[in-house]
Amino acid sequence: MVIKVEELYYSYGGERNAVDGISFEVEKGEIFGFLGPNGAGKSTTQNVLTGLLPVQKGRVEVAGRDMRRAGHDLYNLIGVSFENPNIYLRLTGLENLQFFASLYDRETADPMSLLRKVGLEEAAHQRVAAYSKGMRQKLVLARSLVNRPEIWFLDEPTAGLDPTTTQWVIDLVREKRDEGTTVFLTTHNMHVADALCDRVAFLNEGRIVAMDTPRNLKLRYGEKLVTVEHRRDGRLEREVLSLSDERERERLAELVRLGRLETIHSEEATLEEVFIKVTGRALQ
Amino acid sequence: MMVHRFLTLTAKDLRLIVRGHMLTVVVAVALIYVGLVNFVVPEDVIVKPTVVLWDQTTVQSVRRLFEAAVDGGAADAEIILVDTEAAFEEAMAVHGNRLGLRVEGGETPERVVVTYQGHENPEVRRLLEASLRQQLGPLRGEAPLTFATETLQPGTAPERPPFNLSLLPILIFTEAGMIGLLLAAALFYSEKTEGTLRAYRVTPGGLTEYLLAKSVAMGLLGLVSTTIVTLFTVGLDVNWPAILGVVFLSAVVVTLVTLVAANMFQTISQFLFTGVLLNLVLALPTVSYFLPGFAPVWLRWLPTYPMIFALREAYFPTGAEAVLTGAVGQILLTLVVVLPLAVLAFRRRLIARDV
Repeated sequence: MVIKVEELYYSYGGERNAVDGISFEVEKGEIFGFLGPNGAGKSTTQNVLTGLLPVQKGRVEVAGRDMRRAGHDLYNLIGVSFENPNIYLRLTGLENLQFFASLYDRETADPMSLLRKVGLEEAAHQRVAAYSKGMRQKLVLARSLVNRPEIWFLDEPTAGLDPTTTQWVIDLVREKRDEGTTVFLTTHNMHVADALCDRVAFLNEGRIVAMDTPRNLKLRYGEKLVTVEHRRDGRLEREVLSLSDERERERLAELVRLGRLETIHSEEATLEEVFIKVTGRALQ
Repeated sequence: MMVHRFLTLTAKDLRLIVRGHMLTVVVAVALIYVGLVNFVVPEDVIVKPTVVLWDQTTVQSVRRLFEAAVDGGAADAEIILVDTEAAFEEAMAVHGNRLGLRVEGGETPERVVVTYQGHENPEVRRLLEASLRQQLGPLRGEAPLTFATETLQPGTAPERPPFNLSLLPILIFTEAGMIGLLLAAALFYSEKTEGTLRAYRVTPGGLTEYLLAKSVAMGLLGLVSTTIVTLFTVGLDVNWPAILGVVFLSAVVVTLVTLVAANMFQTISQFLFTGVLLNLVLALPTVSYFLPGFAPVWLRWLPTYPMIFALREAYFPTGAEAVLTGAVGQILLTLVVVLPLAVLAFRRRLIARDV
């Protein structure tokens, strides 16, 4: 296990704990999604895992180190990409990466190669103040990879990005996973989580309410539906039938028997629908 | 590795200082100071002194002479009349700008003793004594009136520099230290706003390097302004190592103190009041610079107190090496105390607020 969390609590001093006794483990090379709406405790958990917040109660191990006693050398092993593009606006993209690369005690990636990888080679010598939001987000991702991290923490990496850039981020995360990097992904974007994660944990009001692979969650909580298209009196008709309802199952059997079916598609629930079913609240 | 990180951080801060136009501001202010010293502030200023007069003679002729001058509006000094030694000493101690005049004799004045505070310009002394001889000499008729002088704080400033140059330590202190205070806060808050401090926290870099790098960058900025002002006012013939050393260390300490204070506020607008207050408190030792008699213990404990007097000794050496070495020692001691406190304050605050 590269991340091990046992009975973690965190409070900012309010009535309710921001994180309320959560436990989970993340295996090496896994993409683990931490999903939940704003205020669910996702970022607080990630901040504890990355040492930005102290462990108040519970036990947290990252890369084999107890986070209560972890020293600065832990940061040689992890990369953190923040939701807000926190970069030096008065420095160029290349200067930003060169500066951060110089802070590590291990061999780092070549800043220019990283910029090339994230498509910012041509803007390498431009000050970041002139970058678009998408470019800044790409630079933050590049910076979080500068130390070739073994564990990569991503906080809402696609927030506010256009679909093309979002797909590019998804491809990049898959590529790093294939290279053996463990990814801890915090997001409320269920499509991204569905596309990327090996396992996800649903967080609601500081507690993990469900944790499994996206497929298992959808199978467990989603309704099994089929969409069929058939002809009646020469007119094409479309029906959505539940496989858990006996009358609708009989209707499907009848359509098959009569040979009227033109198309048939199974319908899975989305992760978002599962989340709403489990927590009773929407993600946004 | 820590040294490498410190150097990288310093280089980054210097780059931000230049690109944030802070260097431009500092150079512009330095040039304004050069203009002030060379063309605006006179080499000497005449300050109307206050004379404490104790006429011990029975006839009190000197006293009457002074009273007549005051009544006739001819006196260019304020006169305080006293009758006892205790009253004389008490009156002299009230203000560092007072001169004493003790007239000794029986019925007529025989001897006049001029009491100096110790910081008076020798030229001023000579002029004053010549004037007194001229005014009081005839009171004795044929018999010569003897003159003597005494100094309350001998060696305070036997050779005072011209007034305009005497402002140099204050101007340098103001620019390298006090403007440094505002620029250090601006640099810190720009990082806080950009969130780059948070990004730095998830690297192996520590807070000691972070704080030292900022302080050293501000120290180097102080050296630039000091070099410009010094070079174009007093030229090359000064104790450069001492001046630059004191300025650098002072700027480092002031920056650290600033960062500790700034760390307690979320935004620069929230910090502004405290920053101005801090600036005023740290600048209080300038009062002692102009009035050496005013140096209460609490004032001497301010980290900026030794800075100003070390700068004065570095610019206008009196031969009192101990002033310089003592001040440098005190600044270094402050640095040793403030640095771990700053690291501790940052650690507690950053973690508590997740900055």
